Amino acid sequence: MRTIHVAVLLISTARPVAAYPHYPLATGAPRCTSCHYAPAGGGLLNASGRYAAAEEIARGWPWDAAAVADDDARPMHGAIALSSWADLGADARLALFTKSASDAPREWHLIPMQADLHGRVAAGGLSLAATGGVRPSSRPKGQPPSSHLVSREHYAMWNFREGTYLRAGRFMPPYGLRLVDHTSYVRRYLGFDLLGESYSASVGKVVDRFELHATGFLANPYVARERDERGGAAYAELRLGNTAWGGSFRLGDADDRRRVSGGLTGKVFIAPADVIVLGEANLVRQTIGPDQRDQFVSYLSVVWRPVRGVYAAAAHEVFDEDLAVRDVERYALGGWLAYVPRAWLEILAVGRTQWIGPSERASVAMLMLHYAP
Amino acid sequence: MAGMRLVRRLGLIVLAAGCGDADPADRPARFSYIQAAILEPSCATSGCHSELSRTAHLVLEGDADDVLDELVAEGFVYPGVPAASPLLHFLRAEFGAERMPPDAPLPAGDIELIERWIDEGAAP
Repeated sequence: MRTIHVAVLLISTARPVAAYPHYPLATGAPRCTSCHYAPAGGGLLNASGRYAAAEEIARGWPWDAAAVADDDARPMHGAIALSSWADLGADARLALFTKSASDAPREWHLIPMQADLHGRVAAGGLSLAATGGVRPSSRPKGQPPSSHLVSREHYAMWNFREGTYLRAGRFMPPYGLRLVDHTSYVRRYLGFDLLGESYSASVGKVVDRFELHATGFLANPYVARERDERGGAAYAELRLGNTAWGGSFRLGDADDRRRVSGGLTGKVFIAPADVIVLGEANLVRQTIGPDQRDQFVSYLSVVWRPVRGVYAAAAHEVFDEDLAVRDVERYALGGWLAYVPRAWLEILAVGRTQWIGPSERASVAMLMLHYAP
Repeated sequence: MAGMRLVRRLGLIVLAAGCGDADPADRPARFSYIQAAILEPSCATSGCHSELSRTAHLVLEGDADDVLDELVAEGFVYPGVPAASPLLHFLRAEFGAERMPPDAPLPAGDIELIERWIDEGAAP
């Protein structure tokens, strides 16, 4: 097999930057940095993470169930020999999904949801990381082609002492559960939607027992509500036995607007049943000129791993856009089933229904292939 | 139906402490509020009517006065005449218009506020 020595590879891209907070079901890892370079999880896996993906998360093909394919634990299936100071990864997602809303006709779409490359170089405690690629769209009409090339993340990070870091660049400020699904209410309505990464500077400490993150952000070039927002966010989590409890805070100011949110998160791992319960609840106070409104956003899910490599979940969400006003709430109920046959392959089936206000309803179902060598 | 009732009950339990009863149409009927509170979160997402994507050549983010001028100039809003304003036709999927937002409709209360705003002259 021909091998290629690569120092760094960077292509502008779009990637939903978030971790899989339920994977500790399989790995038992207490913190995201057990498997990821990024202090809040997501992005490239480190060597431990690649091994965990191959050895603990994936099911393995039946004919080699007794052995771990060595290549699964290497970047790009081991086809690329990287220098010790470089790492490389990719994410590609292809999805067939269908959606309907109230009395609108059902739509079907087959789209490549993601096509990203991740690169990282490191020397000692200093590292540079970037993610870039293509931003697909199911509704490309009128969109300039250049808008499909984006770099969601690019930052410099310095790790010093045990678990302490400084990071600056473009990334999502750590907050809440950091779910993968960007359509979840706790991401979409709290400032962490798709392409919600801001130019930020962050400091934190991540160890087995706890983690702390404090971030100041300036602007987001892609998303309107966050474009001109300046502010800060903080997240703290304490791990006690098989549970983790956290608190989040975010303040964003833009011209005559202000948005302040605070929330609590909880994760409970029920080991005998191979179940993890994840929950997040937030209150938001938004000021728009002379007016003010309070909002509530929550997420609650139960994830079950019946056998190695298979994950099933159900989730309930609430978003009330104005607590003082009736009939503007949204509720969602969803479920998903994931099969991870190899470390670099995930097959995901998702269904979600929303109830909006007193009479509207919307639903989506999706089958997705996720390839991440 | 039983499932929907259960979902609503779970949500209402969560919201019980702070559930309000004000009429959704009684919120400020001015565009600077409607844009920030309704249009930007639901419509000006990165993949739709944002500066980045400009889907269907329509941008709903940015300076409120500029966006309002564009909505009126492009014929989406006829101040004082909500029945003739295509913006409402899209939000309600009326007269063959594709429902917007396409992934999930706005709550009826949000649409009623927009209708009242147009009816009262579409004030900035």
